[in-house]
Amino acid sequence: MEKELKKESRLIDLIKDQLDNDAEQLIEFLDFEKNNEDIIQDLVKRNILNFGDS
Amino acid sequence: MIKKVDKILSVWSFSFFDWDKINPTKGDNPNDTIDTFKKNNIIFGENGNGKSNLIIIFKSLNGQDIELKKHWDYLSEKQEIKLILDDNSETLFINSKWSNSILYDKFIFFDKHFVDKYVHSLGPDNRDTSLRRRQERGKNIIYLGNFASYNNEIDKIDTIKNAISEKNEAYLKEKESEINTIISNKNITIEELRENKNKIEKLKENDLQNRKDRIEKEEKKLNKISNAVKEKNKIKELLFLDEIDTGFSLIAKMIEEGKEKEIGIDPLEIFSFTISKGLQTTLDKIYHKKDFIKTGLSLLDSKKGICPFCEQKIKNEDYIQIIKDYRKIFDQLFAEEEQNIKKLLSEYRKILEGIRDLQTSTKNKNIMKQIIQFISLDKELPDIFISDEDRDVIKNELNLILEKEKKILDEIRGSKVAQIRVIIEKTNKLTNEYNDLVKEVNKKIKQLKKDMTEGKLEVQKSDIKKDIVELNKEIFFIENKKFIERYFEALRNYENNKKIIESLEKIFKSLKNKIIDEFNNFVSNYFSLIKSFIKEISPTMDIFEIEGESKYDRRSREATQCGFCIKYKGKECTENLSEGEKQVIALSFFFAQLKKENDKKKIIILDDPITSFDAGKRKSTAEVTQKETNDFEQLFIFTSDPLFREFCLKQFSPNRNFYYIFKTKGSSSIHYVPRKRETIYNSFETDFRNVDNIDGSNENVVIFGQKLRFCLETKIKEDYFGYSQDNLSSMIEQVLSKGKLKFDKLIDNKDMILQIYNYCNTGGLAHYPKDGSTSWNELKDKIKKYLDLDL
Repeated sequence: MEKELKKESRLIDLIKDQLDNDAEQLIEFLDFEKNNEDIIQDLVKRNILNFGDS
Repeated sequence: MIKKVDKILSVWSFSFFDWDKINPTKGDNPNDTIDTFKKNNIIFGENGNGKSNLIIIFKSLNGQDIELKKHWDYLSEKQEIKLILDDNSETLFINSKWSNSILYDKFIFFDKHFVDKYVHSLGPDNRDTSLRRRQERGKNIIYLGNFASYNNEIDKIDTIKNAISEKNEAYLKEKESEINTIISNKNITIEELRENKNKIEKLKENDLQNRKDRIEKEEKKLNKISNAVKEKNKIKELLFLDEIDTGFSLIAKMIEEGKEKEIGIDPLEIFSFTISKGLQTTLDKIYHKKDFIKTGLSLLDSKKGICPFCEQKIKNEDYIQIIKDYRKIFDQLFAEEEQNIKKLLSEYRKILEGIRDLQTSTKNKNIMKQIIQFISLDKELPDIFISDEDRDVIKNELNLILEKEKKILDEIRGSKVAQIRVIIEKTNKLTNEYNDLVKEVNKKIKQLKKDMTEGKLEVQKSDIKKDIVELNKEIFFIENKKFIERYFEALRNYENNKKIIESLEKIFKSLKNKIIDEFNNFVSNYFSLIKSFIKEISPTMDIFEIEGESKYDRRSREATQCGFCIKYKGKECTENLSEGEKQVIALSFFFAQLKKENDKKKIIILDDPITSFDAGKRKSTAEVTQKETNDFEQLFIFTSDPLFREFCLKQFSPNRNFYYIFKTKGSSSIHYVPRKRETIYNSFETDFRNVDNIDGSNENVVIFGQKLRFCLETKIKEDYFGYSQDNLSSMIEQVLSKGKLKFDKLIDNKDMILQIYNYCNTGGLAHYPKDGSTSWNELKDKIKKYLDLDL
């Protein structure tokens, strides 16, 4: 598949104004290109999620 | 508008391409500038010749993040692309960058990618195990526009939410399991931990001893209450404690002038009582009777009797009565004074004896023995006694009293009244404390009796047991606080993670609502247009009914489903749509988008829009394309389909140019094809005849190779076989126009033709420039053989 430089409108960008600050910020940290486990690890690194030391 | 692709060096299949060296500067009309792109451009090339690579270059110009790779045979060569626009400005690609952004966002593409991206028929998913879900999922919906990617976004949010939720629950479960191994032995539940979270967090290690002490006390209390419950009769019979006399003080109650008065006892004054002091006191007392004495004295002066003061004989007994009265008064007062002293002395002795003999009541002691079986006391009833030292002081003082009582008019020395006062004060304090405790114990006895009567003892017993259990737990919490706090931390993490999950749920819901709104907008904006284009491109498809209807079930956790249903006679048939039918829908959507496009300065690129189309659809596609792109600045139609090419050439004529893309000698090239092809053949063949005078440079090997293939291939295909004719009769006419002799010659030379063709296509030239000048000599040989063929 060809990669698109021109960012196409995402549905998630269309709802940003409906969200509270926390949810809006959360969206910024979600990389849709990554798999779920990697996204979770990203959120853990940012201290948004916390699963202790495990 | 793009005027020409002036140069392409080492980009994809274009190892070396120079527009001016391939395309003649003049066409059939000397005034035409035929070497540049027109408004409408049809570019024909069979698969693998470089069409798609040219489109990729356009996409890169448009701003898409596409790496323009080097030609595999020229990896060490520098890349370069040069485009010249109609105002003669240039756009260069050097060092992997475009020199400017003039053409950024100027293109609109329709290609396979567009179809793949914007037209989807989901159908059942292989992962759906449930038959019902397989049937429900997608309902054979055709997605148009961004709805497939929108749906992926929703799906992603849903799955990430579920993944986080699952991980969070597993995390909590693991932590609960860890803490359970610690608390289960104490019959403490996780719920209890949670309920007591605030209390536990406030507990400190310093509280441990305090809790242990309290437990000890509570256990004692429990023991006593248990005794009381068992021995109810004894409780009934319990006596109350007696208070002891208290309030020792150096004050005596005396009767003076018929009235009781409190008189302070001054032991020093008592011990110092003598005749003279008594006399003086007596005189003081009778001082107010001085008139009586004056009268008496005046009488004495005249009668010469015995002086009452000096006790000399008074001769005249007539004065005896006066003396008698005097004596009577004097004796009485002195005696009274002496008596007072004695009484005070006696009172003083009683006080000291009282202190000396002070002791705890045996009765109280016996009652206490009973009570402590049932009542807990913070303090024990103290023994009341004075110290030996104090006792000696008192004993000494009592001896002095005894001595004084014997010799009342003698002055007694040695009193330790100051110490006596201290002893009295100490004793009073002790007895007060004792009595306070007695009152407290009595109060408890009274309460115990009352509680027993009212049946409250069992309740108290139960309460104390509960308190003990609680205290034991508190001790456990303190001793294991480190582990419990770890669990609480996990609990906090779990709750915070849940907030993120809730946020994702909100996002998920908002997305689901939004996609419906977007879909409804899409339907109102595009649906009628799409329908009309479908009818234009593929009138036979009107047997399908395309419904613009959102398929979305808010009750399910499925990602949002919305798109078109395609029905035939009321029955859904999206699942069975052919590639061609999907292509029609995609193309219709593309034209609908063009209709809505406000910027008519765009350049439209169509890459084989007729894939899987029959002849009718190819023709209608050419017609619709011409109609719908007419207002735009420029059009490039790339195709590998000769029929569609011819439809386009006719549809766009005369305002169009036609180009071939060939790949010769490993490099693609773009060839302008004039209406009278002879002009270009003549031009190239003139160059061929002059080949001995041409420098055998690498560049010329490429250029002459490209020209040779063009002449050989297009001449035979187009001129001999009518390759581009749209119907059989035109093809037959084209064949006939060449004549039998030409075909005989073609057949006779077939081996040579194929040899030259293979040489251009995959033969020796494909390995250029490994052998340098040898390639040029081989190429010249092939060019000469081509000329000898006299096609």
